[in-house]
Amino acid sequence: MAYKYCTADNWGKDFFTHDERLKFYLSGQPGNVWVVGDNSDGEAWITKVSGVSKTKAEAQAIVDAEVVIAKANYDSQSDEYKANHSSPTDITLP
Amino acid sequence: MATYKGIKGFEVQSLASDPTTASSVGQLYYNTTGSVFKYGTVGVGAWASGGALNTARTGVTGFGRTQSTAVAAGGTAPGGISNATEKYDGTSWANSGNLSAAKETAASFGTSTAGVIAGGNVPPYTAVVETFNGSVWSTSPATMNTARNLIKGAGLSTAGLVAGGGTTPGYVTNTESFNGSSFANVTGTNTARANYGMASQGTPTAGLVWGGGVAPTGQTVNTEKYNGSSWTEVANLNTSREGFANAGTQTSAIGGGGSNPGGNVTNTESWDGTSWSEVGEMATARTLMGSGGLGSGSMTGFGGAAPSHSALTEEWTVPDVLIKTVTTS
Repeated sequence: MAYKYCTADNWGKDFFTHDERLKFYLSGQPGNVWVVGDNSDGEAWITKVSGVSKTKAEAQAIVDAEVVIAKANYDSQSDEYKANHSSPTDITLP
Repeated sequence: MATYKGIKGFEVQSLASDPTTASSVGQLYYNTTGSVFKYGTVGVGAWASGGALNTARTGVTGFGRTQSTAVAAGGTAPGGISNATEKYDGTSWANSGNLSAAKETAASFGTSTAGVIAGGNVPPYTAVVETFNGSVWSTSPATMNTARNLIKGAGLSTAGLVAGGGTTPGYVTNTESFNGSSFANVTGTNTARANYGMASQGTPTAGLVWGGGVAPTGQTVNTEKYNGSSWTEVANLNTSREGFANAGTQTSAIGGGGSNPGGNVTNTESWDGTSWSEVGEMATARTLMGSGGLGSGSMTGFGGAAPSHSALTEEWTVPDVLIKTVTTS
């Protein structure tokens, strides 16, 4: 499956709808990165949300930076926190 | 040339708008607004975005028996463990009265106007119970018999069930029923587990738990049902994980998201009373979410770790009918 990559702020209700989820692949990632199925419906959704197109490498770099921040935040937490929450893991975009 | 009426014995209906009821499944009609033929098929579930929480948090406790009447309480926000409470109306979240004590990963059951939170991590792990009247939390004179966190609940404020969870030093099988006034120990689950999924609309005589963390081996696919006197192992989940959004009954349940050693996942599985089936995935992989909802056809999942503290809400819906347009290709 081919994908497009973009960044877009999730505004909440109807940012993506039930109907849209049935028409194209969509995956939200840290840093407001979205992986979108490369078809006409996916293209229309990127336009709807005013998505800023990224290359896969650019999108991966944004995600990586967010995971680094999340890991640093986790490492700074108490042992009690770590007992209930697992450490963030690296994410590889499809 | 053969006509539809000649073959079927009646004419195709003309409708100005698309039908929304299950009775339309298998029906062909002409949509006069769009000037196209359409037909109804069995509804397909999918996750759609909902309004964002005002306070991003993980380990948030959720309850509420419909998709649009969910309540989010407590959890860990960027500034620490929170007492914040918010109510969802199907579109947006509004702040409500705070918990008496900040806590995360507590059990919960009941409605948005008669809710119960039990246990959780303050720290330390607590057995304290709080009740919610739709706007204000009150500390209950009742307490659980075993203080614990990473626990889920089912039922109503007058008839609840909690099972498993994490204590010091480990996960437990302890199950307790609530009669509106006090908790009583009942038969424990077969597998000690924490941070699992539970059919939130279950009852003290019809419970269902699945998945979760099982020290020291990680996560399980094990599912158990409860009949008021004993737990019985039933069909396993397809994907082991913990930290679900969950809703439903012993015969119709849904579990979405969670985490396993591979990280956070988007998998969603639907329980029909006999087996689990993989259905539409969440858009954003998260764990330690809160949730509220009706069952396998309707649920709201919110907050969690994605991997940072999340304010996201997603709504799972299986419509009664899915309308498709007839095309020539």
